[in-house]
Amino acid sequence: MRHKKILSATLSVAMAALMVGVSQAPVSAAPNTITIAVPGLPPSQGNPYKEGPGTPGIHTYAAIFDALTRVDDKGIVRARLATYWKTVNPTTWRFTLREDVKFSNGEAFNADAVNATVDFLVSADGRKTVIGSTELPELTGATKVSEYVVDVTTKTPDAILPAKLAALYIVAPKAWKSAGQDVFAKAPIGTGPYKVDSITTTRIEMTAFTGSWREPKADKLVIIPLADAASRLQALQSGQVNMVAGINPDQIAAAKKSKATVISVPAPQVMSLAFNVVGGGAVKDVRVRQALNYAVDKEAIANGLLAGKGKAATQGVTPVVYGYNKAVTGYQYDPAKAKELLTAAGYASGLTIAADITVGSFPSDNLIYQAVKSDLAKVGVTLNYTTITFAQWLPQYNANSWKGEAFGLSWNSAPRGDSSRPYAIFVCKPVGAFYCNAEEDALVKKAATELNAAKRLAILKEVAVKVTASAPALYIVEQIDLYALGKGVKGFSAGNRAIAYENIYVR
Amino acid sequence: MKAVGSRLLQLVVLLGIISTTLFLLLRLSGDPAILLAGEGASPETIDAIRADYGFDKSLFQQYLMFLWDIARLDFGKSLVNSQPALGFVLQYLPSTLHLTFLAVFFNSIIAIPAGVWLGAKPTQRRRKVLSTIVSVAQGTPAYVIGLLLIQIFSVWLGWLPSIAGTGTWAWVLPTATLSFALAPNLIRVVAASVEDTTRQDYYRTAKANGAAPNVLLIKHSLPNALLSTTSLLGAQFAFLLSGALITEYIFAWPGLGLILVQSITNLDFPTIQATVFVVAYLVFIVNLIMDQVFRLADPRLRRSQL
Repeated sequence: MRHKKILSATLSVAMAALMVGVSQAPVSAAPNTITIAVPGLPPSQGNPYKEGPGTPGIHTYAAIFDALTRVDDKGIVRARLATYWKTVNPTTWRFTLREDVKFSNGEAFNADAVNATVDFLVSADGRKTVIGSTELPELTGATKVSEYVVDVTTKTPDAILPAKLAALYIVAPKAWKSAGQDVFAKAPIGTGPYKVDSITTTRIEMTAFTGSWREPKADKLVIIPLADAASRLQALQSGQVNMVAGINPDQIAAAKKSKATVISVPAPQVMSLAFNVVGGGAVKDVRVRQALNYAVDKEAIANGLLAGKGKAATQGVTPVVYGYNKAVTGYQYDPAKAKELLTAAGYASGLTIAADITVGSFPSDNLIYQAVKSDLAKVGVTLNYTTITFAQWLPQYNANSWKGEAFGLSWNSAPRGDSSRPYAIFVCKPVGAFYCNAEEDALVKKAATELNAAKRLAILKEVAVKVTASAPALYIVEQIDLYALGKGVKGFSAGNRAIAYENIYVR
Repeated sequence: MKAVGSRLLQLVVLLGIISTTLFLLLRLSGDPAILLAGEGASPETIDAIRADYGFDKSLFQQYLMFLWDIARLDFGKSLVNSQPALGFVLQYLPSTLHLTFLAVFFNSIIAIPAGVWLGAKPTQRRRKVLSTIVSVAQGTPAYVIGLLLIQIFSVWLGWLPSIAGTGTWAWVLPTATLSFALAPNLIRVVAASVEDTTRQDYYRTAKANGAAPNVLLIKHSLPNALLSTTSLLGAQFAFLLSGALITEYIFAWPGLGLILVQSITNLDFPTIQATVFVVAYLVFIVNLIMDQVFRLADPRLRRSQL
């Protein structure tokens, strides 16, 4: 009897302890709720300018905000909040805005809203944000022409400003001004299909904004960060989430087995090992760089480690990017030729290369680097790589203070979907250049200011030919974005990493 | 009163040492201004951000400012989400405390009886089997236990949620994961302590006097075995306060461990400093409580205070 009392008291305490947790558990019980598991939420929460334009921010911001333009999965600039654009003079683009668009707090979207956003971005505070300092440093201001027409100006002629503005989300001007960017981040207001109810580090809950010009088909959207890929898949398999952004290629079979639909979207990104050519050493010799490209079986990597969804990279950009040159076939796997080039460069007995890499950014990236190391070893090249964090990577990248001959670098064309973005990295940068070829540099700069689309495309294709031949990097694979959809999820599509949330619903 | 004053002095010294060490380590770990400015930012932008946060001042000046701020419990604003760092960290403290209490509680009610049973007759065959299972379990990472539990109870059986914030039942799997991860160690300590008491004179005397096996176990073995058990439980509690990272990672659990890792990734100095400060303070309190528990449990310690 006494034991029973002890047991009963114990269980009572346990249940009481469990029940305390009830008050902390917001439950979304709306009938048509989309719950998506993503690898991470934006650390700066609802401030869309403090984050880079890619993941993790884009999984959240695509539901809340809109930019003036978007770039589709062929690199073509499409209408978003702007419906038409043209150049007025070499440094001014005129945008005609979509009418009858409202922000989720009822504010009207018009030229004033665009002005307010651009004014912030060119202010001292705006220049300290990632978007203001690295994505759109050339912006100088915006001028209202009429209620729905606005001029945006740049320091120098900018051929692809409409594409670049795909990275600039327009925020509700009054809410932004009255709250300030810090408070706004907790309750962001945009014109997108969902409005935010709450933001924490482990959950974002949103409700449909029925007045949005992209009116959503579901009632609620919940975004949950699950950093672990296995946990994300399990959440889908158990029906706790409807969708997963970012499953690993080796999880495709398990996902399909549990009746999930797996969607592979080509990413505008090429995974590579960039060479510190400016730093000297063996990689200064173009024959060595070419040899390393020939030595790696990229097809086998794409088929084996990306489940055949990714492709061997032929150049620094992928076919979904404007400026891709399909005539460039890259470096086919040819270890004999690699040996031959190494011998010609004076490395017949092999060489050792040190590299710093980051992992966890792309599907299977850790395994891909191992495969590269293994292939290089077959031609006598020892690749000693060290895995570092992004916080360690960035200062070395900015200052080109690498101790080794190579480092992991992704050629990222998102969100503007234009090859000039990654090629702009491989130019003679005044600070932190790790590769510099005067001829290629001149071509990249020419493409930046050439306003004639046909001429510009020709230049970009020429850049692809020349830069690929120079091999400033070991081009590895064209990356992919994998999504898994649970039973009954309809209307999914994604382009340039942005999910079209407005079309998704659960049947 | 003297004892309280002494403890408070210890707390101040402890927090001072931890804060200073952390301050120096963080300054060696990297430059948050570069991260905030982004890839390819101009040196001017990076300098402007440094100036905003005072990172442009000399290390000594920064250190003095830091000491003045923490003396006022002002850790500044998070570099990434701009919220007051201490307030941000404290938001997640209840969740961590709750999970910690639950995990330690269930760990105790699993491990103590199992350890006693194992230690009472360690050579018995079926107890050797349990001992082997415990050894294997001790080598199993919490990550694997968590994923296994999710696979069984969420995916296959569909009984329990695995994502935090989905209701009362969402507490079960993280709690079970931590309890199962901690239990093997506690079982072994309890078993070893119980086994040790069976070799003591007082135990043998009681046995020779004809005490029943249950009386021997409960009256003579267990009280002595619980001293080392209490010590380990205190250490486990303190460990969980610093964040059951893996559990938080796979269950999207809003706890201090997750906050700490995210802030380290982003070089968010104020949030790192506030988290470490809160954890250090809590660990100190736990140790203080454990000291009192020892005094209550062990007459020798009480006498030594007289």
